[in-house]
Amino acid sequence: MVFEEFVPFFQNLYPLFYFIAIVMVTWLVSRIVDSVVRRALSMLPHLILTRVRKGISVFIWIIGLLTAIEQLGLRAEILVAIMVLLGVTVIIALRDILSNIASKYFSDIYVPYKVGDRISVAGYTGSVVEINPLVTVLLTDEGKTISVPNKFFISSIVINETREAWREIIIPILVEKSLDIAEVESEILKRVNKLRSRLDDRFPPTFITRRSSGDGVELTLVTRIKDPMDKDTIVNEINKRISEAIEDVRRRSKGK
Amino acid sequence: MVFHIITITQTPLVRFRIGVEDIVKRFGSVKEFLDLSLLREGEDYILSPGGVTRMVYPFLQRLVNLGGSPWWVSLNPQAPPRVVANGIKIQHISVPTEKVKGYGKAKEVIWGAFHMIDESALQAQDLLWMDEYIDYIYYNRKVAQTVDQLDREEDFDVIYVHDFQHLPLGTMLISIKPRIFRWHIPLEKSLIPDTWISSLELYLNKYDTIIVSSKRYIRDLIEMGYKGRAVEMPPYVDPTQYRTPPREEIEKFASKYNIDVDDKLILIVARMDPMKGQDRAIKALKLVKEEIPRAKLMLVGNGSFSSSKNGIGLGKGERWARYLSSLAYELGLIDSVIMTGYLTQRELEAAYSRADVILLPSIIEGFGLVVVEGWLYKKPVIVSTRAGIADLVRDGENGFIAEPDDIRGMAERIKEVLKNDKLAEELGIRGYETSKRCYIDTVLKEEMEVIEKTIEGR
Repeated sequence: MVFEEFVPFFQNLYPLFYFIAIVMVTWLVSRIVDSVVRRALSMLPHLILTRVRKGISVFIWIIGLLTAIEQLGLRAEILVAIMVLLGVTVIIALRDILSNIASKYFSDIYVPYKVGDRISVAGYTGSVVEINPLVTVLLTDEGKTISVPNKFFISSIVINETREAWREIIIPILVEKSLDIAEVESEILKRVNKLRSRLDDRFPPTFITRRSSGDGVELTLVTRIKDPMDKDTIVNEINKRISEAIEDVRRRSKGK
Repeated sequence: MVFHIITITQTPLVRFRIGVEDIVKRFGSVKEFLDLSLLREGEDYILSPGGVTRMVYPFLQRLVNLGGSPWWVSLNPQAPPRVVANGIKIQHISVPTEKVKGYGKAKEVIWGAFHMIDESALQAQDLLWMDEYIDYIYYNRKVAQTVDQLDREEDFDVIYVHDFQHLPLGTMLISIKPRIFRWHIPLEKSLIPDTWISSLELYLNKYDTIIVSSKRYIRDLIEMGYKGRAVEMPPYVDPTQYRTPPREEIEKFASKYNIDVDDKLILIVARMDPMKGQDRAIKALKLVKEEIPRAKLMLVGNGSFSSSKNGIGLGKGERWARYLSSLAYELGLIDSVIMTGYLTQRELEAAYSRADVILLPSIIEGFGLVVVEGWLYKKPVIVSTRAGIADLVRDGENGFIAEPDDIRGMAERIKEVLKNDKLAEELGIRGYETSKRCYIDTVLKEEMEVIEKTIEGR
């Protein structure tokens, strides 16, 4: 076989080369963007940071894969249209549920209350007996249970009447399946314990396991601050340290 | 009803004297579960001393006899990962050496605080912020991961956690199965550093039921904010495990340790640990010998699992044993104080049989199961007022109680028993009757009821 006979063969393979090249570039871009986002948003709560990073990564991969697919001669516009339609349908059909889930997500991080606390929200007062993705269940003094949709925790005023609730810091953390929880926990505690002078001595940082999900294990870090004026700064600092600790463990586990 | 149960203790059922490599050499390979019956007690392994394993083993054994298939998780870094002992499946936990060291140190501080022998108050106050405590949490997390994994595979009915080493487990488990915690050491709120109270309250309230060995601890448990079911239940022994050895065996044992027929033997069965108060007994012996020159003191036991080389390797037991030897030497009692170290079950039976009085001089003690063992052999006992079992002792009726710091008083009690055979016999017989309160069959019914109520959420 002479060289000229190879040319059409290679020409047929060009789209595949492009496809592979675009996938590789996508991988590289997603890693670089992820690293930049991680550094830039390190003050965000770890749970949100994880979701933001995942969202950006998924977005980059969708764009990259669609571009790559086009190189193979397939029409990406139809795929995009189907995805958009599906997304809109899901959002319209489940908007109430999604708004409650999203509110739960943010109230977990920004509205400090936990099971056992006595709170007032949307005109109702009681002790929190359950927090699930859709509602928070209150037990009133009369023994009635009230299910408050989680969106009210974002849209209305919440009063936590529990003594010294202002001191509490409750930070949800998601430990990915690929990481060793014991290592992550140790690494976070080492870093957060260094803030001891700003925290209440009687309430050292403690982890409580909440649940295991497809993504990993959800933990809550609970501690208390000394000075209410410090709360915002301390919460940001703890979040930063949590992200750093998890990154360290991730790096070490990859290095093994 | 036979429960599918998983039990967690720090101390394992057995300590191995041979390594995994030796086992592989001998058997070619190690199956998923190493059958303990293939090994020899005393040569390949020894049974761990201590009250916790002594009561957990017969309890699980009973469950096996009832058709159950219980699991037992414990720390045993140098051991094969899985062992089966008479139908009990044992999962050993191994964590990196440096973490075990940190864990051990933290555990000692906690233990010391509850036993009033905290050598550094500052350390106890700061413990929950220290790296050693992080290692303690690390170990507990590893146990929690193992328990969760096993629960996913086995679907247990109940999770039964033993002793303070595992208290944080409750906050770590993903499994929502009913949880029981058995507190074996003394529990006095007044001894606990302020910085621990909130964490203890959090940890304790993650258990549906907490069992303590003495009524006096229930009050402290509630004062510490525990809202679940608090139950008082003594630890127990299986009396069928203690046989009366033939006379020749007792004589052989006595001869091995140079105990003459006329010698009066005071016996302490306790691990080598300052909390056990063996030093007080040696000092009391000095006073006893002024009137009873043939009195001898036998100290049975070596270091705990924590101080063993194959365990946590803290070396505390060896240090204490050396101190006791030097104390005996200083007091001129070197020939009257016999330190046997570890004894096999058969030797222990001979020791109890030969003893004239059983002494428990602990500075503080969660319960004191060895007193029950002494009662099984109808021996008179002298028990520290600060031991949980003192609740069962009616002074002068089924034994004597003595202040651990009152050396003279302790010596007087010993002399009273050693000089009066009739009194010693009566105390022993009444003590034997009292021991029935701690028989596994007596307590098992109670224990089963508590487990059943916990499972059913009653």
